[in-house]
Amino acid sequence: MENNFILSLLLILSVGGSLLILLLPRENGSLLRVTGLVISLVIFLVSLFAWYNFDPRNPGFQFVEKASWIKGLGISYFVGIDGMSLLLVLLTTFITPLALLSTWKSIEHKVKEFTFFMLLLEAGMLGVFMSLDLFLFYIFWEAMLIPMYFIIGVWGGKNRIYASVKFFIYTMTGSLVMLVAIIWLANSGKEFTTDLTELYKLGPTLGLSAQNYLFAAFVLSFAIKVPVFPLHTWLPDAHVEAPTAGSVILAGVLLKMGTYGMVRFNLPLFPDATKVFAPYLAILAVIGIIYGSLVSMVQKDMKKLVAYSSVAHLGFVVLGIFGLTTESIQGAIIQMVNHGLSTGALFLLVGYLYERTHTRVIAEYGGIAKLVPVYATILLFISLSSIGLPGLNGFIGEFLILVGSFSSPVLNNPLYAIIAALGVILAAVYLLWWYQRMCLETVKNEKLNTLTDLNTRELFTLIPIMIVIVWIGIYPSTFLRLSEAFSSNLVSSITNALAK
Amino acid sequence: MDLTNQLSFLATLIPEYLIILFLLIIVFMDFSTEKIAEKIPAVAMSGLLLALLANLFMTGTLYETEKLLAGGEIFVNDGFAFLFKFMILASSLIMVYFFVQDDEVNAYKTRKGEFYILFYSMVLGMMLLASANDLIAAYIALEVLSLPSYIAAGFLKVDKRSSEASLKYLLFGAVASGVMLFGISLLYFSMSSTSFQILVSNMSHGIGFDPVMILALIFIIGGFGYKISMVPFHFWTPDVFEGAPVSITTFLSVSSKIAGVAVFVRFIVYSFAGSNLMNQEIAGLGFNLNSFLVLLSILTMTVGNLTAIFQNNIKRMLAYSSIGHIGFIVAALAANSEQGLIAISSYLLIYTLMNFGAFLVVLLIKFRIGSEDIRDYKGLGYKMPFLSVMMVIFLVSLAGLPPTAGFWAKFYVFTALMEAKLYLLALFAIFNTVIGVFYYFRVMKVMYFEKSETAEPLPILTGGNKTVLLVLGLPLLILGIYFTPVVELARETLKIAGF
Repeated sequence: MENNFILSLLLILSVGGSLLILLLPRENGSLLRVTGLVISLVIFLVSLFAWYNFDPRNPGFQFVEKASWIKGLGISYFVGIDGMSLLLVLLTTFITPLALLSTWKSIEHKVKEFTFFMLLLEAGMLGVFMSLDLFLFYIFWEAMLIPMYFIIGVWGGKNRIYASVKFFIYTMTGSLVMLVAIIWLANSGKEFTTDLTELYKLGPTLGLSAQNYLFAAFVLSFAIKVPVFPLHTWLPDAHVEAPTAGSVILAGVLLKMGTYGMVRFNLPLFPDATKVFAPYLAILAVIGIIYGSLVSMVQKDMKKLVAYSSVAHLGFVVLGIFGLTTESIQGAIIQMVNHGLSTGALFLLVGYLYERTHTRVIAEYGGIAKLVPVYATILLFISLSSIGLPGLNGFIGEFLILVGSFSSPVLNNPLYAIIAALGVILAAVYLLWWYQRMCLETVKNEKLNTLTDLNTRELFTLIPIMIVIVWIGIYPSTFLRLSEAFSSNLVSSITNALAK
Repeated sequence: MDLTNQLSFLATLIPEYLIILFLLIIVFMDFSTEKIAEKIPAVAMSGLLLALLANLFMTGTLYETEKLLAGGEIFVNDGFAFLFKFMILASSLIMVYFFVQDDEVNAYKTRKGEFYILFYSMVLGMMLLASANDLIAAYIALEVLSLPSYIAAGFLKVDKRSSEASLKYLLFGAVASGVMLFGISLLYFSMSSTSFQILVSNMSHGIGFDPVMILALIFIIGGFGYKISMVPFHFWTPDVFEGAPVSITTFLSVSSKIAGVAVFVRFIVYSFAGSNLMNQEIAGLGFNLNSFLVLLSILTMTVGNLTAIFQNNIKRMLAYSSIGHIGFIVAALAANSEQGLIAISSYLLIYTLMNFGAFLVVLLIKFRIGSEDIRDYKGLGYKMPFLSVMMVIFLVSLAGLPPTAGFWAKFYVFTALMEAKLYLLALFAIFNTVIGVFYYFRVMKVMYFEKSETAEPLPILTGGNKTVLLVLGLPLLILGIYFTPVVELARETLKIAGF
């Protein structure tokens, strides 16, 4: 294929764009905002072009680029995407401009630094989803921490410093364990190599105990990122303290890096260990679903409610991944996208309300549907999508995951799916109850009478998300077919490896 | 040894001759008029520059001929020595810049000459350490380095802390060198030689470890360990680092450690390389020398890093963190492989850059806000944007995160550890990296996340300050993306050294 340069172009645009921001004058806030938005939109267009040229029938990597980087260690700059990465790359490039647009009013000081970090973060996330060299992957994975640390720490809420340090230390611990595992894995072949396509051949041939250790090290790092219960405690803090755009990116894309890592590395590299660990991770996932939902239910702070609902939703994704059937993995992949859209939009809505009232305590609201009808309608719409109402996106993902894991030969027990299905009901409970307390009933708080409805800019950040939500809900095959070849190929290769 | 060989060896000592020559020039300048004495820093700098060029030239010829210049049995000039001398001279060159900037030192105008004379003696000592191949030679070189260091630590003689630092350093140093000398004599007693290679050659004749030798080895390692502040020989470090002027602290924590590591590595490698002595169990003790090094490494990095968390004085924090870094270097040494030695050389190169950078920022801040306390750094990120961004680069690199060179330095240590199957040590290294992140980021946190109480503007940086900061900081970023040159350099020099 001729347009081989497209992935590097994405990276160059985001890194170059962030550097361009540094050159602009600090005083001119609107220039900085517009430039940042334009750059992120250009990146989005380029990623659409990649989608246009993508061949969904090919399960292998496409748009592959490879250049030697560190000769002695066989490390190279090696990028490429398959169906799963394409979806997540699109998600990233789609969410970033919206997140940038959402901050036009709320970020007033240090706009320059903020835009710079956001674009740098985008580069890191794209790099994570495109790397086909474990080492390159690690670099992006780590490099992305620093912008996020600053975004939470500088523009965050009251308790931001505690939250940012906690976020950093948690992730860092996990990633260092992964680094050692990467070196170990790279070292276990004839020659030191971090080339993923080589390691895909090498990994399954390792002994079970080596696979187990490596699997555990990788999964620890990813589980912290997802986060899988009981490693989730950094998430509510980070979400509550982060500025709106930070929460959107965090929930929308960052958390997916953990689940992406599990699918990209754990499953194909260590199939034998996957079989050993799958039931345990499925148990943790199910606990996460129920626990996250119950904790969500009792939150007084609405941002915390949304944050804990992430723990529950990502529990579904993890269950889908370790269900290890084509359907459940398909479901997990589409659910990653769904969660990014729905939860991202929920954070946007919570953020907009907070900008107006400066409170996130649910009890202080009530009856706002009368005051801000457009807002309330959109909130209901997004909540329903998050609950998994048929016709909207959430349903597709959860349905596939439940079907897939119900009949999963690896888990070999329908109980996982049955308990997880309870989570769907609980999601309805906590989200609708929240909606009721906030939007319905009567207006108790007099301060709310001055509340204004969403303005055009805010609508512009939400409507694109809503369109995609409906699109996935009604005609999911546009997206499912992208990852279909990948998923079935993955499952059959694992089955083959296990059969040996 | 024939005459031509002897002469060519003497020729490779040109950098050392230059240092001695300029040392004498500075002595004479100090005696003459005040006007001439004012030029001392410039002369000191040019002397170091000449020596550096001479050293580079020597390395060049070495590359051409590819021959091992093991000219003397007491001193060796090989690729390893040249690489370390390069680091020593380059870092000394930057040190002069520190001295010029250090207003505490400059306050003693009349003693300027004295200061540079001390400094030049230290440089000479370090260069000798880098090529020492004999315990007596190493001992003498160590003293040539240490004695002026004691005086320099107490250079601010009216300052109580500085005097305390000097005295503590002297007392610890005296004990350490006494113990080391005792160890050397014990080794001489059982081996009748003081050469680094003696252990290997004797062991190959079937002589095993005996208790006297073990004791001697521990004493000698203690002597070297004191110089590089390896736990448990590190107790002098924090107080001395806090009390001494910033520039001297920088010198003690960077330059003098390079030299200390050089001689320590050479001692361990020459004594044990190519033999399985490192892994041979010592009779009656149930452990081998390798596990002894592993233990020292774990202790050093853990104690250094854990203690660094609780420091509020940034000089003290950096001092403890440098102990932690030494732990990483000892870890790479314990890997006992070529990969490990490459890791050591690359680590030290990067260590020099990032530590110099961090200390320079500390020094520049100190003479602007008048404090070394981390808590006084509030809001500096916005008051001094350039300086703070550079500090972020240095701290991120010290913490060992990509995309900076500090990450690669740690990465190669990890690789060496995994190859040598030292998994426990690797786990400790991870644990320590996380701790490091915690306290390095604390500084960034204070600088950026906390608001300053005063709004008064601070004196801005000069162009020279900025240039030096960039010279130290940009390589960290560039090498962070493309690290291969550093590793290739380390590999080449080691190959020539025949390690």
